[in-house]
Amino acid sequence: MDGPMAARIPSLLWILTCTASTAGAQEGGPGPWVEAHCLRCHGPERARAGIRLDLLLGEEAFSREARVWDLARELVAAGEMPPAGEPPLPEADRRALLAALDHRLKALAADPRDPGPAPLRRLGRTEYRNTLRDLLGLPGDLAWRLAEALPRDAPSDGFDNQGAGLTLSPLLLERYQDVTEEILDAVLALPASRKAWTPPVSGAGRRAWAEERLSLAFRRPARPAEVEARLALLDRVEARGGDAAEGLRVFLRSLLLSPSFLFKVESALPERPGQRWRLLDGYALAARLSYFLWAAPPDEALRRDAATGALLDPETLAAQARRMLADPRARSLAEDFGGQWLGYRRILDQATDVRVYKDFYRKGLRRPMYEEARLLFQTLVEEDAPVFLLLDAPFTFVNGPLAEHYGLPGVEGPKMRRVELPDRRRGGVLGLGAILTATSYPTRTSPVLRGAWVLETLLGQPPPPPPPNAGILSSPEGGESSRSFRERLEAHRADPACASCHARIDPLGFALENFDGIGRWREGTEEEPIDSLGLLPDGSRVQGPVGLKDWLLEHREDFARTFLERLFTYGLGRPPAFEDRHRIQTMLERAGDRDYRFSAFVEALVRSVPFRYVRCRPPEEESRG
Amino acid sequence: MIPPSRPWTRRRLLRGAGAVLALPWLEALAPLRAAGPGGAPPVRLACLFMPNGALPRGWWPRDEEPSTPLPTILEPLEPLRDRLLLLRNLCNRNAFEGEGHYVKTTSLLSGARVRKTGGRDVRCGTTVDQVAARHVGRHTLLPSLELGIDPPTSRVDMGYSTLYGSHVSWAAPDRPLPKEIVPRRAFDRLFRRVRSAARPEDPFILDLVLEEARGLRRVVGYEDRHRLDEYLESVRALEERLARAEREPVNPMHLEHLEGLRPPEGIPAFPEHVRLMLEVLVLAFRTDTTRVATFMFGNSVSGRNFSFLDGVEGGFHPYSHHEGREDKMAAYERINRWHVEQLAWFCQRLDAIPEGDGTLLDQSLVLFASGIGDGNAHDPKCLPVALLGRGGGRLPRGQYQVFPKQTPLCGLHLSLLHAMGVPADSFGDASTPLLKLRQT
Repeated sequence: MDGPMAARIPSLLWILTCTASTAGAQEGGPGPWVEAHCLRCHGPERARAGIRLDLLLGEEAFSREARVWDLARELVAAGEMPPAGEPPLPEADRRALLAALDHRLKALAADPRDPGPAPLRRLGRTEYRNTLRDLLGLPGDLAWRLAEALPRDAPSDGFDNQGAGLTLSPLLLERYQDVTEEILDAVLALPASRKAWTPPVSGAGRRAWAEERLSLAFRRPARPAEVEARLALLDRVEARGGDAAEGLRVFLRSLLLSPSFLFKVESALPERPGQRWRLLDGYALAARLSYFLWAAPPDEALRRDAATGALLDPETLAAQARRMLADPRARSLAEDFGGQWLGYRRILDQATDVRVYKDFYRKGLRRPMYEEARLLFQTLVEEDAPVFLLLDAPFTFVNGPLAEHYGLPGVEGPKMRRVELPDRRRGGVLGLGAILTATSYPTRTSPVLRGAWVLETLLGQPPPPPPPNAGILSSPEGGESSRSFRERLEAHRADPACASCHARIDPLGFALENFDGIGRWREGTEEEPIDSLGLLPDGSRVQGPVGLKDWLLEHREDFARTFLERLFTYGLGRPPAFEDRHRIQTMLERAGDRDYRFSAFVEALVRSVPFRYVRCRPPEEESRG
Repeated sequence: MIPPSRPWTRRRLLRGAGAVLALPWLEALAPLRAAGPGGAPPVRLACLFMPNGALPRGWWPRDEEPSTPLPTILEPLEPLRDRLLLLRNLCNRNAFEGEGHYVKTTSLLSGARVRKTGGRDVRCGTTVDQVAARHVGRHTLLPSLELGIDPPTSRVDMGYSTLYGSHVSWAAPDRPLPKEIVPRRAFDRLFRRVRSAARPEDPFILDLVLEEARGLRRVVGYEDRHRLDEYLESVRALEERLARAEREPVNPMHLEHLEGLRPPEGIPAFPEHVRLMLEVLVLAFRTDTTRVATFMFGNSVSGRNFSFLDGVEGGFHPYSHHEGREDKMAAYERINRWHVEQLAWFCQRLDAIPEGDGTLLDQSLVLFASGIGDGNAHDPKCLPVALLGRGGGRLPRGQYQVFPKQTPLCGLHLSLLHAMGVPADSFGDASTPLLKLRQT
C-alpha cells in the first residue's frame, strides 16, 4: 500500500496501546477519550465535515493537523462538541480530554526562537523574468515573452512562489535550456547587454570580470572554483577558435543553467556548536527581501548593505523595506501577491459565457477589470493606507467601457483613471468586477462561491468539504420555475449535514446578489426582485453589499489576521505553521500599533524570527550527508 | 466472455474513411527508430482523463448483449467496438472520502490515499503510467509524456491544494508531474534533438552544473535534498538525450517534413487545442518517442464553457450538478459525448497507422476514465472506464464486462502493467489483475 495510510495505521495502534497502559495520564495523549466520544461521527464510519480524528492521532499526523486539534479543543471547551442531539461528554472525561489536548498542543508550540522550516525555492516564472530583466538588462516585456515559454509553476497554498510547488522536472530543465538560447540571442541583439556580458580577451581583466558577473548572477560572492570552471570553459571556446559571441554564449549558459542561479540558496552565518538556529547572512537576507517585495533580485543598494553586513541589523532591514516599497518594482505586490491572494488574477484566463454576457467581450472588460483590481491594491501599497481600504474604498479605477458597465458617468476612452464613487456600493474588493466575475459561473452568479470566497479569502475561514453525498440540489417539484434558486438552496440546507456550513456561506453570497455574473449592478424587476438579504446563524442581518461591508468591518481583526497570514505565506514561501500562531499574534499587534498600514505588516514580518533566521541542520543529518 | 459483435469490421470502415489514411505526413514519417524487444512492435499506454464524471444513463449499456447499441455517450466508439472494453463497477476506494473532485482525480491512476494539505506537503502515490515508464522509458527519447489543456490553478479548495486536481501523473508519492499544454512546445519537445544543433561545450556545461548541484546538496537541509535530486535527475536526462542525439543522427529529410507539421504558436480555441494535443500524442507514439502518456481534457472541477455544442449553454462542472433535471442532464451527456468523440478520433488516428501485423491502435492501451461517476453525487463507486486497443494482442477482444460491485480499479492498472510487460504482483489496493491477458 502506498501513501500515508500505511504509515498512520501502525502509529495509531501504537498510541492506543500506549494510552491503554498509562490510562488517565495526560502524557498518553487524547486517544481514549477521542475514541470513546468523537469517532462515531469523526471516524471511519462517518467522517463528518470531512474530519477523521482516528487518522490524526499519530504523532506526525497530530502535529501536521494541529489546527484541527486546536479547533476541536476550542469546540469542546465551548461546549459545542459533541453537538446538540449527541450524548453529552461527562465532565470528568471532558476535563481529561482537554488536559490531554492542551498537553500535546503546548508541546507543539515551539521555542519562540525557532524560525521554522525554510524550504529551498527555485526562481518562479515571474521571478525568473524579473531576474533576466535586472541581471541582463533586457526590457521587461521582452523578458516576459522569453519567460512565458516556461510552464506555469504549480501553486501551493494559493501562491506560485511556494517551496512546495516549485518542483523541477526534466520537462522544465529542457525548457530552461531552450529559453536560454533565446535569451542569448536577445542579449547579443542589445548593444548594452552584449557589451556587459562579452568576456574580455584572455588576460588579467578576465578573472575579475568573471567573478563580478558570477556574483551578480548567484546573488552572493562567487567562489574561486566557480570562477575557475568558467574560465576553463572560455579557454575551450578560444582553443577551438570560437569568437567573443561564442564566449558570451557559453559563459551565460553555464550561469543560467546552474543550480546557484535557478535556486534561491540561502546561506547563513557560521554555526557555533550546539546552536539550533542561525541568522541568515546579508546576501540571503537581501535576496529574501527583494524577491518578497519586488519578485526580483537585489539592487545595488541592497547588495551594498549585504556586503557590509548592515542588513543583519533589523533596523536597516526595515529601512530597506520601506525604501523598496516606494520603488516601482514593488508593483509586483499588486500583481503577484494581491492578484493571487484575492484571486483577481484569475480573471485573466477565466471564461464567462459569450452569449449570456456579451458585454464582457464586446466591451473588452477583461483587462480593465484586472487593472481596476490591481490599481486598488497598488494604491494600498503606494499610499501606505490601512489594509481595510481593501474592504471599503471611496474610489475605484475605470476606463470608459468599464465605467459604462458600472453605470458611472463622465468617463471616456480606453485609459484607466481614478474616480471618486457616489456611494458605498462599489468601492473595495466586494465591488470589483474581476472578483465578482471570478466567483461566478459562466452563465450565472453563485452565492455559494461568493460566500465561500468571502469566508476563505477575506476571513481565513475555509469552509470544510461537503460530506461525500453532498452536491445534490433536490429537483424542483412541479416544474422549473416553481421554486427560486434561493428556495431550493434553502431546502438543501434543511439537510443538517449541509446546513451547518451553508448557513455561514450562503448569506454572505446572497448579500452580493445585486451584482450579476460579470459585476454589473442590477435592481431586479417586480416579478423577479433581487433578494440580497443574508441572515447569519448568529442572527445578524447582512443587507446588500453595503451591509456586507459593514459586517466585514466589524470583523476587521479576522481580516487583518488573514491578510498577515497570506503575506507571511507569500514572503516566506511557506504558510504559517501551528507553531507560528503566537508570532502571528505579536506581528498583528505591531501592525495594529500603526493603524494596520500596509508597511506596518511588511515591517513586522521582515523583523520577525522566521524571516531572519533558519534552523541549523540537526547533527544526525551531518553524518548521513 | 462475450464474443465481439462484428469482428474486424473496422478495417472496412477505415478503408472507407480514406481521408484519415491519406494524410501525407503519416507516410513521410517513417519510424524514427526501430523498436521493441525481439523485433515485435512495443506496446504503448495512453491514459486520457475527463473531468467531472459522466452521466450513468448515457454511459452504461442496458445489458451485456453484444448486439445492444452503445448508449448515447459511447456511440462514437461504435466503429471501434471490437477493441473496446467497457468495464463496469470499478472503484477507487481510497478516494471515497476527502472531497468531491481533487482527491478523486489525482489518485485515479494510483489508487493511493491523498494527503489533505494546502500544498506544502502534497502526497499521493506513484501512478501506473510512471511505474510503466520506469520499465519501458529507457528505450525511448522521453520516458513519458504528460499533456493537458488547463494550466495548474492557484487555490486551496476545501482544504486541498487544487494542484491535486490538475495532476493525474505522479513520478513518486511526493512528485506530481507537470503537464505540457502548449501544442507547439509539446511538438518541439518530441523533436528537440532534431531541431537543436550540437554545441561543443554543452557536455562540459552540464558536467559543471551537475557538480555544482552535488556541492549544494551537501550543504542544504535534509528535506531540501530532494529538490536538488530532481535537478540532478533532470540534468542527467538532458545528458542522456544529448548522447542519444549523437548516436542516432536524423535523416535531414525528416526535418523538412517536421517543419510543416509544427503546430502554430500559442493556444487555439478549446476544440482545436484538444485535437492538436492529441495529434502530438499520436505523433509521439508513431515515432516511438515515448511509449507512455497521460492527457487531461481539463482540470478537475473544470467549468469549461461548452456552449459551442448544440443544446449546451454553460460550463461543464455546473452541468455535472444536474440535480436530476432533464435539460441539464441532456447537456451534461452531450459534453460527455463530445469527449468520447475526441477519444474515438484519437483511436482512429492510431488505427490508421499500420504497425506489425495490425495497427498502432492494436499495439496500444488507451484508457479513458474519469475520477467520479455521476457528477451530481461525486460518486466514486462506479467509475466510467473504457479501455481501447489490444495491447499488442494481449487484451481480450471488445466486450462489456460487469464486475462485482466495488471492484478495485487498481486491478485494471495491474493488468495494464502486465500488458506493458512490467512485472508486478500488486498495485495500489489490488493484488489480482482484473483482465485475463493472452500470452504473445
